[in-house]
Amino acid sequence: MKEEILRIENVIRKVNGITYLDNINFNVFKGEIMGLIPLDNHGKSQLIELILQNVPLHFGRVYFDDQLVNYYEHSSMSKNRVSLLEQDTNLIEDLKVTDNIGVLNQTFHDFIIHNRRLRQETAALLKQLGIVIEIEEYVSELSILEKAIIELIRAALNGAQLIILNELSNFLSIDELSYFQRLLVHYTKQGLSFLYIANHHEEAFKICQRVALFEKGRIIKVISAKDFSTAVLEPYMLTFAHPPTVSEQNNHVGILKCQQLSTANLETLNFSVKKGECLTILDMDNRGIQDLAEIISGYAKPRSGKLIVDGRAIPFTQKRNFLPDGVAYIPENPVQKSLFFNLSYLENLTFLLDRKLDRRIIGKKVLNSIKEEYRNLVGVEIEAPDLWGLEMQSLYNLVYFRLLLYSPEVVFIMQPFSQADMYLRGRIIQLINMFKEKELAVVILAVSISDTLTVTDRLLILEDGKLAPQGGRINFANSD
Amino acid sequence: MHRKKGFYLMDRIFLVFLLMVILLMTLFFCFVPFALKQGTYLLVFLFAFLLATVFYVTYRWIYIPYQESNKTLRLFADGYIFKGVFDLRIHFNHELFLAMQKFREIIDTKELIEGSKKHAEYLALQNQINPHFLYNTLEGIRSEALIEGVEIIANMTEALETFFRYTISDMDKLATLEEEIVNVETYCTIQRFRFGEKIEFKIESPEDHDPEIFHAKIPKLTLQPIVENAVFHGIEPKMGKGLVTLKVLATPSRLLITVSDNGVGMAEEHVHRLNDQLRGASLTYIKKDKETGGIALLNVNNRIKLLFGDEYGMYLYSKAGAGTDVEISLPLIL
Repeated sequence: MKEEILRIENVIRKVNGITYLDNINFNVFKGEIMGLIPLDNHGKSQLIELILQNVPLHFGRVYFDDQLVNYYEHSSMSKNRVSLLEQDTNLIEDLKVTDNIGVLNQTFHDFIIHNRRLRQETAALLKQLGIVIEIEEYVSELSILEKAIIELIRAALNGAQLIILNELSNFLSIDELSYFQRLLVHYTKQGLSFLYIANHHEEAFKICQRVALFEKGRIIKVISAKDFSTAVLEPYMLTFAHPPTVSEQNNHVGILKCQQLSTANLETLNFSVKKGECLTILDMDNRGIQDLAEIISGYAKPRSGKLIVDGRAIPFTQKRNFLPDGVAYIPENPVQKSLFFNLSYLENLTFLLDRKLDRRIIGKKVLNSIKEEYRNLVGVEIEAPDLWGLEMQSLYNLVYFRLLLYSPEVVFIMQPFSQADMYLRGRIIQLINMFKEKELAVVILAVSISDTLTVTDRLLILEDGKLAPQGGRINFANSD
Repeated sequence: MHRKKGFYLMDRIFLVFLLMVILLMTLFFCFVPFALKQGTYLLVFLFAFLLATVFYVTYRWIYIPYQESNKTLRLFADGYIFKGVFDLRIHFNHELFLAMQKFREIIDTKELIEGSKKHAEYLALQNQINPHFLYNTLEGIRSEALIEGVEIIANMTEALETFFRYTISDMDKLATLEEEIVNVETYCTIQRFRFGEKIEFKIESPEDHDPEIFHAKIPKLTLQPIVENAVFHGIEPKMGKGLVTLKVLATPSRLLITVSDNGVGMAEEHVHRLNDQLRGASLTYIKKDKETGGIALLNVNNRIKLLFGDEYGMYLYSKAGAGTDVEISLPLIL
């Protein structure tokens, strides 16, 4: 007989008059990894909040460990024994592993911290789990995987009965994810339950016992493991069009060449990209592409090597924007990182244009001409006095369209599909294909292969900072 | 009729009012003259603190429970809840509490359940057919068919007779899950005479399930109307073979039954509207035209909610072209 750890029953949750959860119904059993695939992100954060804390509901009931903890008449605002594990760590980065595990948990009630005992206990715990992490290391020095592991261990020690895993593949590489999933299975055997939120069914199907599809604040389907198949999902999913392949006439060989580039985590990286081509660099251990991203965004210099764009070597000076050299960079989650919400749409669109035009003041005539040109692409949004209230797709349009103004030769995109729902992913694919049609060379830096395959022409695999031998290089342009 | 534990809202209002009167009188007759005479404002600050406490108590003890009770009454008026209105956390006063308890007793009587039972008894009772007359006639047809060697008619009549015997008799009783499943299988046998092998019926339960769950009690005729719905609205309009799957799962407190079909499914708006109706117990649909559809589902859902409470009932997952899943949540009664 299965025991339910979480049961959400007919819950309607409205915030400021907007219905985020609309008659939602689902449950998680003890020791189960329950998948949740959000087809759109509407209501996802409200659902997570509802599971973590007993916040007011418009209607419905929430049961935790078979106890009614929240219902339409009375919401106590108490917290449930649930932990959230996501990209932004909840660990204290300036403390050591032992302190994060042993001291910063609710079971620690001592007045004096016995460092020696803590170290022994932590070491024994990690040994028991077969994990090799330096316990005296500061958390800030750990890799993303190590941080995730420590957070998981801490949550389990804290007595969490359910752990929400929010889009792990956005920050863990394929190898890291598979290691982490083995740890999840270990904890399920101890009765811990997981709500595994993933954007891709391939990822969820591998590890989950059941998967729920979430759209418009409702659960629209619950699928059991034995029914897992792409065919079952077909009526619910968008199928993304295949990318245009590199045209035959495109003979501009290697608009971007990376020669012998070395950093702390990269070893003599060599690759080249043609105009109108999309190359994906898949990093199996999520370190090399971080270094590459720091170089492209001007925050770090390589130890050695060159980046040559259209025959010109780029000088590596720190804190420098490479846009004038024809290299643009779109960071992960660009909306939060590269847009200014209090500025108008046009101001955001023409941001940094002064550098491109090499003028301090940009004339009204130029601005009007840009406005009219982009009005055809984005419509009335071009008149928006600020970015608040714009849809996520419009904000992504702005990030990508803005680059066209600077007419770069090469665009590096870090994890373009990170935290994007199915509809947004479809739009990002269109935008990347637009870059390709405009003859831009696109380099995608990714830790997860999903979706990038729909736009990429070539795939390079980085393992331990080195490109994998020929077997890891797949050409998609000439294959079906 | 027992008295509810704790204070009623009117008691609370009276107590807080009394406290405020005492405080105000103390202020005017003691604190202010004393404080002014002594030239100290310490007691005035103390009084202000007490007053703030009274306001806080008023907010937490009266205002919030008042809002919560109002919200529950509003949800009842809007059709979200049915029995939940009787379980207010804080009742307005004792008389209203007693009236609510009486009202619950009336609701719990058979009259309202009868309303939904009518649909289940539709075939026989609406036409005023005497059940025994029906069984005897069917038995007669079966005997004649066997004598003439037409086995298919004999089998068909036997299935029909078994189905009617179960459907018409002892409507008020709870049946075991096993009996319900047998009835669904009989129904599918009858339907196969019409649809041939187009309909397949399958039962699934977890590998580690307790066989006792098939002896769990559920309201009679819970499953067959849902399977009938799946056959007529899901599988019949579909090209090719149809599969109806019954999944059974038990937790220590609940019995979860899912009836799935791989039929044509439903449009999103229809699913949303039906789920809104299934959320509460309402009898308004009985007056509506039959064409609106989903009456069988609403009927079963109402019976479950009336018998066991608002927290049990049904939920629908469906999409055009992707089949339909009806999830039934019931208390586990062994």
